[in-house]
Amino acid sequence: MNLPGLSCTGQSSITPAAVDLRPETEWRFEVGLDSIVTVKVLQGHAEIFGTELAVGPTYTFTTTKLSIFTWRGCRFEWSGDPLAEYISEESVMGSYANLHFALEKLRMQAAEKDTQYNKEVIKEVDIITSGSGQEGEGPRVLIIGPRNSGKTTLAKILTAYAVKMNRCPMVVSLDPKEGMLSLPGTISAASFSTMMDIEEEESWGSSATTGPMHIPPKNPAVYYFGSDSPTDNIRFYKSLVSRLSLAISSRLAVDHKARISGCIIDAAGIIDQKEGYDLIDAIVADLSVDVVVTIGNERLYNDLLKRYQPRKQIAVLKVQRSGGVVEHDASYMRSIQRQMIKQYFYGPPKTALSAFTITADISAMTVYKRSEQSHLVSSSALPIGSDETTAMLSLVTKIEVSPALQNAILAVLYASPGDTEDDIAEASVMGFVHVLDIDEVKKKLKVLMPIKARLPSQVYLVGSYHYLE
Amino acid sequence: MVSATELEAIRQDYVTSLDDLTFNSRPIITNLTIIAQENIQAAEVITRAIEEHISKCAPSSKLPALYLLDSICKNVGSPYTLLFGRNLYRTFTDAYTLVNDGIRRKMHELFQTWKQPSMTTGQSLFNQEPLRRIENYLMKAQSALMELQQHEHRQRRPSPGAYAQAYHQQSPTPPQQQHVTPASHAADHTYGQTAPSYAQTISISDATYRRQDSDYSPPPAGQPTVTTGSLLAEISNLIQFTTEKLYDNPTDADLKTQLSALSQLHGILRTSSLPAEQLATIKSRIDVLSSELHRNRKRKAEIESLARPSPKRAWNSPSVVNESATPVWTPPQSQPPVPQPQAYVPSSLSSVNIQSIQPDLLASVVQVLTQPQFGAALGTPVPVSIAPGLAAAPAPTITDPSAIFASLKAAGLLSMDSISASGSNGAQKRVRDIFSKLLSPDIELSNKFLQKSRPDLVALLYDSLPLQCSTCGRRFADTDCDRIKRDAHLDWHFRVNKRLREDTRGQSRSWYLDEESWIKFTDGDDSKEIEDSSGSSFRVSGSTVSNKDKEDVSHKYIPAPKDPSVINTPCPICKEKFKSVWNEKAEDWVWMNAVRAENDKIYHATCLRDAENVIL
Repeated sequence: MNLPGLSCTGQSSITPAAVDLRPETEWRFEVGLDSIVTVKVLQGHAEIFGTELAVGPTYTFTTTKLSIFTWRGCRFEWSGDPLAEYISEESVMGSYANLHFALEKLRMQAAEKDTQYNKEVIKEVDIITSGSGQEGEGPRVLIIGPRNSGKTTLAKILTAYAVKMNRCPMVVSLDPKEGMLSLPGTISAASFSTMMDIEEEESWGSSATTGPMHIPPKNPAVYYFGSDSPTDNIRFYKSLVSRLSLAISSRLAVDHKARISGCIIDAAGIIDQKEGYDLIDAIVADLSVDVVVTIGNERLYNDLLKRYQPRKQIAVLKVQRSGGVVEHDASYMRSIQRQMIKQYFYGPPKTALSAFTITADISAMTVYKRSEQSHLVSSSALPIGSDETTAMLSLVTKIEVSPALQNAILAVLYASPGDTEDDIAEASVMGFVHVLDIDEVKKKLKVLMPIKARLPSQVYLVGSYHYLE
Repeated sequence: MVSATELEAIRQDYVTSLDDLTFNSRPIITNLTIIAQENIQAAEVITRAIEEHISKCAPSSKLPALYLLDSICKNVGSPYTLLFGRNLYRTFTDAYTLVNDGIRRKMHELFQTWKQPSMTTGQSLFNQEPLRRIENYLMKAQSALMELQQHEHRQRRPSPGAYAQAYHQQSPTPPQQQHVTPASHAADHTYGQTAPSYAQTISISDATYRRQDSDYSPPPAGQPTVTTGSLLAEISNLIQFTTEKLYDNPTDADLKTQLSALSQLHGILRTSSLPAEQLATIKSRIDVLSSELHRNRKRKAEIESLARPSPKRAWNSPSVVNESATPVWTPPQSQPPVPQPQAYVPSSLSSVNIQSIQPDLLASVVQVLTQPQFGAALGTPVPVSIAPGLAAAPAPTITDPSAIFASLKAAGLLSMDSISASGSNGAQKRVRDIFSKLLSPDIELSNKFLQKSRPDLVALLYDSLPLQCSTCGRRFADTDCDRIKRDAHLDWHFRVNKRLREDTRGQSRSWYLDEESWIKFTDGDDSKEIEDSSGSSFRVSGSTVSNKDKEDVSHKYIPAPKDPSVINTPCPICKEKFKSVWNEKAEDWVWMNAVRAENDKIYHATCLRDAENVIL
């Protein structure tokens, strides 16, 4: 059936190419900054990192590296201008899916013994069980691997499958470089009760806006670290992880569905240094991790096995890294981060958001930065017992608003200028503003705000991120 | 995403194609249905185009356009069912007022098919709300017509013939309109007849969206296997038939009772799985009822053909065509083994007799359920009275549906306890069985298991969740509770699309929740939002907290100020003045919905709240 004018052509001049994917193969593609690739599934089951694509609608992707995988075979067409695209026969999805099923079994067992959960949630869950008066806890999985080993991808797949099974996993992103549902430089946690927005795959979807969204937005708890690598200030990072863990524990104590579903934790890719292992220890302790999954690094696996095997309650596993994982070079990482900042203020292509520029007095803004690690005196140079001195130093320092802040991204904290530095250091993030201009003569600054409002009279925390529109 | 210009192009083309739909043509309807399916991303504009077409086109073209609506909804399903459902009442009733009686009758029939639960999903085509409103509307229209007719009736010869004539003379449209319709009769005859086959050819997404029916399997001829599906279909037919009767006799309490009994039985069958032997027993009873119905109709047809002169036959025939023209997909095994094509006597004719017969039938169902020698009950000759006003039935033995259930229960046919206790059906159990596979000991957190190839487990991700949303790809299990969720989910899509379309102000990124709110926050499943849809806008924007605030602040008040300069100062936000009202609790004059802000200015509490919501 083809009436003239009724066949809908894609936005690109390139005619759509149809691809038949055989079962258990994947089509990998890479879309550069500001270019677009559209994909439309014609038939079969296609998924992107575990999230299934509907047959019919057109999906639009920009600035991303993705793969469309199929268990049963599928046919789709795409158009646009990808940087690269190819079909891969090799896939690690089998073991990733098995990992999901093993976790799902633990969730089922947790649900079975949790009375509270049974009382409140069972009406909507098909698996009817009888409670035994205890609190069931779902598995808390920590995913560890070197940089660019596909940790986030695995986390997304596990999350998507869990959501598909009507679970509501607490996803914890501890990699400040990537930023989940937020900007780079943050660590965050959100429970996923609805599917991920695969068109905003890099940021795991979208956080809430003032209006409706095509995919339900997620609500993260966000903490601002301010730079890419935890090693930039390990003490501040650990403090934030502890604070986030505290919030998660409190949440899971009351949110039965999330507790049964457990946590999926995407760790930062630092493992080489001694600091790395210390950090893993801290995370395992803070978040009561009971499953550690290592990706694509035999040494890491064996080290962790030695470390945690004696403690029987922690399972240590290894999975292969996917061949589809590509080295994110620095410039590519920057363009993804740029994209995330842009989409925070202006929304993804599908849902345009309005941001607002306001002018305010410089004095109206209280800005802190995290204290430099180098301010700490190297512990070797200190006499025994001086650790306390280190602890006394505050994690954040107040700074003057100066032209140095031009183009900076500032985190708006849930803290007011009167709060102590300790409170400020562990305050969660309310949102972000972008400093457009600072006029030292007139003592005025121009700020880009995500929503129409007065300049919040909060504390602002500056990190190492700048943005130029 | 489709750009606005592309949408406009699709709309234009569709509008042009719609202009060809001036008569009932199956090829055109099929084509337009396929176009609607292929351009599902433009569902909204297509829906609007069709709705506009229905409201603007000539009365004679309205029916084919409604058939198109029907075809799209039945074959493509979501999102069209949702989109059309929104304005269904207006679309349908506006058309109804403008067409002649022949078309109205067909619209009745069309409407019946909408109400009838789908064989595959067990749900009616559209939401209950518009259907209920249309039904009320039709009932009122019918009873108004009946009154008029009875009035006529008394003035004329009290015979069915005159009655039928009166019915037609009441037609608000000029007589020649009647002659326009035969052409479309013939045409929609084909549409109706072939409906099942075209439904199969183009319902690609249909198959995935609707449940792959496992309960329903048409039994081989001559060897009836009873399944819940077949039984449901049969009961649906009876329900449909009874409903038809009911809108001819809207005041008939017996019919109403029977209808509610049937629909309850339907409901029970749909939501619970009964053992095969119980199904067989119910089936045999239902068979008796329906064959009695048909025998009855047949006999009546005979009586009528004897009692009336031949011209009545001519009057009769188009209605027979009507019957087959109804785009109902009637399952073969539910068709009664009655050879006569005029098995369905036009309801207006049968109305006189049927009143006296229905309670009897109802009673006979109950009787046969309780006593084995049910043949006797049916053998009783039914007194046929042609005289109007003598419709008073032989005292119905049991017409109360609860009594029917009591007797069903007594006969061991239904175990209500088991039904209400478990609330689970076969499908639900199957899903549970599949998932219990996960508990097998070989599934464990070990490197060995992770390396295994377990394609059987992948089925849990797909096969156990056969219902899929065609908009976002979300999957649902084929269970009652998941089907409710699915519907709520589709409603959610609809609401979001509607709001995105209507809300031209644009939106912005919200602030994140603070720690405390985040800890207390429970992520709403989109399908759950329906329960508190009053606050859906707040839920969608992700904050339950602000939702609560909304309820609280409007009760705030301050004592009415005495200072005249303050009294005349309006709210700085909305620029409206405050009104003083006497408050019993405060025993003073107060300004309701008012707060004094830090800057000592007085605002409407709701205005300030809204402003602060934006600010914070």
